[in-house]
Amino acid sequence: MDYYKNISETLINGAIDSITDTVKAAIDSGLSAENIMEKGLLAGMDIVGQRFKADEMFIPEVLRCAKCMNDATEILKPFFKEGNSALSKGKIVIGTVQGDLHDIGKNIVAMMFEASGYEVIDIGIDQPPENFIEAIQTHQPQIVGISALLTTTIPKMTKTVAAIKEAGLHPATKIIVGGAPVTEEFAIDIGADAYGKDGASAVDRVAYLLAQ
Amino acid sequence: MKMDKAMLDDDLKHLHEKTLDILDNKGIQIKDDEILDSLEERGVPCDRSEYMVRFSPAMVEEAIKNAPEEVKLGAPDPELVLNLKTNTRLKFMASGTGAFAIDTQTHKRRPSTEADVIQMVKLQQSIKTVDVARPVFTATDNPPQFADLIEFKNGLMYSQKHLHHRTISSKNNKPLLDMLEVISGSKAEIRNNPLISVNCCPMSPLVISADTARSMLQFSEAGIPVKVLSMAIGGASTPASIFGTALATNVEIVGAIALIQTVNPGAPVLYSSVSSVIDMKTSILAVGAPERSIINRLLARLATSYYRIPCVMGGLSTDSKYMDFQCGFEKAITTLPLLDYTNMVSGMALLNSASTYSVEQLIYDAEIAEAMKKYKLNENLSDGNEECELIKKVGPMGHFLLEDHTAEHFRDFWQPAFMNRTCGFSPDEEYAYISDKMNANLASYDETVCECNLDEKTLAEIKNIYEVHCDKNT
Repeated sequence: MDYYKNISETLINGAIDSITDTVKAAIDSGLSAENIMEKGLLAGMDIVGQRFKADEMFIPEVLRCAKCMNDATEILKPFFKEGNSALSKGKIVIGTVQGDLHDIGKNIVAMMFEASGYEVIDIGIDQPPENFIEAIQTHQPQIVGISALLTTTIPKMTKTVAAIKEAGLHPATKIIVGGAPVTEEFAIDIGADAYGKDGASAVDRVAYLLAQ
Repeated sequence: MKMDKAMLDDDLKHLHEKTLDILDNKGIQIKDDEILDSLEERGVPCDRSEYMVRFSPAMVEEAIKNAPEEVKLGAPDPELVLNLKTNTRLKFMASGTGAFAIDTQTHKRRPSTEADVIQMVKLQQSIKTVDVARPVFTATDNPPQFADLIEFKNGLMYSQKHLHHRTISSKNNKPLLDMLEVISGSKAEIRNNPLISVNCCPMSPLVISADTARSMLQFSEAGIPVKVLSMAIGGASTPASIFGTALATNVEIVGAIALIQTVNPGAPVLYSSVSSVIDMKTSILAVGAPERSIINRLLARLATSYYRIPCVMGGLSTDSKYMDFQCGFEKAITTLPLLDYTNMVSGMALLNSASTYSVEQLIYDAEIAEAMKKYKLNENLSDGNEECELIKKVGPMGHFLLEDHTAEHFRDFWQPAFMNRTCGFSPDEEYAYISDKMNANLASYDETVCECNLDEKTLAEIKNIYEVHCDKNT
């Protein structure tokens, strides 16, 4: 049986109910967690990414694949050697600024990050600058993602970015911002490192920031 | 709802009765003694002094009864044969025939050529949403009196779909039918699987030219579906009202159908209108006018639900010269009202009041047509039980993106191939997005175009028929 192919296909199909059993079967057969991650799960996610860019797959399908990825990773975690980089391409703290209760866009971006192999710490909605700072200090992510939907909450994004910088957490942690009222120009003005106009472009921008 | 239906039924009945009145008491002019002889032999009263043909209500009713409810539009590829019925929803074809093309390289307007005809036919073969192919362009680099034969030849060389043909002159009908017989194999096969249908237009008001009448009878006798297309101009060639334009349009279409069915009972015909209103500043036929879709919606319902004759109605139309906001609005407004009664919409590739056509516009129109096919005005909704439980399950601040129901149904939402729904705002990016997609599509269509359908012997025979005809008539 080709366990890697089976895992990839289960993930690509977004089969949330069967991915854990498929991964467990591969472990039971003696395959290493590293190989299952690399040749099964990440290989599948690569195909998902390609199909999404080619307009063959859409957000609900990608998110189901991401859920498969997360569930499978939980199964694999105990089998990885400590500090193994295969578990995550990087760590991202994400949240919505103070006064803003909208989180569907932020959730989609978070799930897209997870689907791309990042570890995401979602601190939720209506978060004041000090909560972003605390999360960065606690989790030490490479990236912090700040979201806002309302034009009335946009000034909080400016304050949050300034507070992160004043706390000396930047540039060790790079800042990406996004949301309906945010523009590339605004992102530059407030001193963010990148602007994600949608989930897919946010993933691309983060990859670019981490490669710098 | 019942009141609305009753009112519409009364409108249709009223429209039909007024049509009978005009055809019986005024008649329709056909200046051809031979055709009038033929009609008189069949009991149709004709006024020779004014060449007016007067069909009685009984004759008209009989003609409508004899017109088939289903019209076979044959095709070289059996998979692409289309049986157009009065309940068929929703087929699309291009408009035609224009003398100008938007050049794909320069994006400037220039006279259209035979090469444009070939490119357009190949492109239509490649686009699934196009149900019937048309030459679309006039081959202005050929002798004008034979342009329709050039269009016909290239259409059948490069299309596996049914070809809709326009006639320039009845003088070209004999060589055209001879060429078609060579391609089809026999006269019986032409009738059995008509590879073409023809477009024949009465002239508003109340005239069928002798040449057009001859074409209608010659093609219908051969078993080729005749699309009777009215191009009435509300306020100029018809009264300046919705009802008046619909009435005048219906009189000339029904008059032509009566002519065809009286001489060739049971011949396949298609009811068709692109009638609209005049623009009182420029005097053009405003093909993108909102009134047009109201007129043609009424007539589509009359054709399909009252007369039970399949119809092709003009839509996807615009007076704009460019692919701009006017173009988008007019294409939509001239099509949406047609959706629930029309069997086929013609108009793809059309720009500039039907004088100019564009391969890029054909690709955009295919996108609009895909959306229109998805959009059903009378679609049945689900019972909502599953959705009700789901909303309760997900609860406040949840989302539905990971739910099985979403995975099962999200593809029911129409997903555009071209239209740009990306976030952010950048006019430069917008232009690049559209042009990149267009270039990719044109390239992919070029790779998938079919080769010539006809073998060398057939090509040599039809070439010979064409050349002999040209020599005799030049």
